[in-house]
Amino acid sequence: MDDLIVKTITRTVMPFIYLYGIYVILHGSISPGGSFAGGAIIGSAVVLYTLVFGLEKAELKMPNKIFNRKVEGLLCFILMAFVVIFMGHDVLKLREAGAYMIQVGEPVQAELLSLVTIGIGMKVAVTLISLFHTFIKEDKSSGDITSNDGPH
Amino acid sequence: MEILNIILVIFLIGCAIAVERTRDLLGAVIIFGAYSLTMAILWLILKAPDIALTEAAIGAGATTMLLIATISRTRRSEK
Repeated sequence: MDDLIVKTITRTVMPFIYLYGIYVILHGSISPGGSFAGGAIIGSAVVLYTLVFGLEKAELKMPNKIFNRKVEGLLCFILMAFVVIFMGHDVLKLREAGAYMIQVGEPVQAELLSLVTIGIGMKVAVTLISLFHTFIKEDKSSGDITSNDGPH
Repeated sequence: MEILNIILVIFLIGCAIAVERTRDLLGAVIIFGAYSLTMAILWLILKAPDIALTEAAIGAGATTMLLIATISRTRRSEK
């Protein structure tokens, strides 16, 4: 996409989308949203970048190595489950283990819950990005086969 | 507020019919994005901000992106 306006707006708006996604993830316990919606917002930001600037630049920004963060997000979630078990409660009963949902106006004291939501958000974002990049890449590699139909 | 609600619902139904009627598949995906946005506003009016946020992120973001990727692999216009 060779449009100056689209490129400039994307470059300007991207940090704010990231910031909003991180905000939604970290404030999932007091405000609407949560880890799934926040992760989807962060993933959408990278998808926007890929659509505007092309796959080559996007892969410089999001190299394949970062797709392993998916595993780390899952490990973060599992680790929190085990932490709660070792503290002597049932699986992921965070409220019993001391990670309360925060009430509005109280100081933040739900660090355990934030760890879980960071893990889920990381996994959702990276899954979305890798799904889209895989789609685009397959399009490129199999371009010769489908060229008879004239892909746009 | 009542009038806004009625306008949004009518726009939603119009979008749903237009998605089915459009021959240009990329246009249909864009109309579907507008449908998702209207639906998100309606969830907000129905006092479900949680679902509104998810609808805006998934409906207008993830679904549109997957459909555009699918169109880029296949034809753009319906036969």
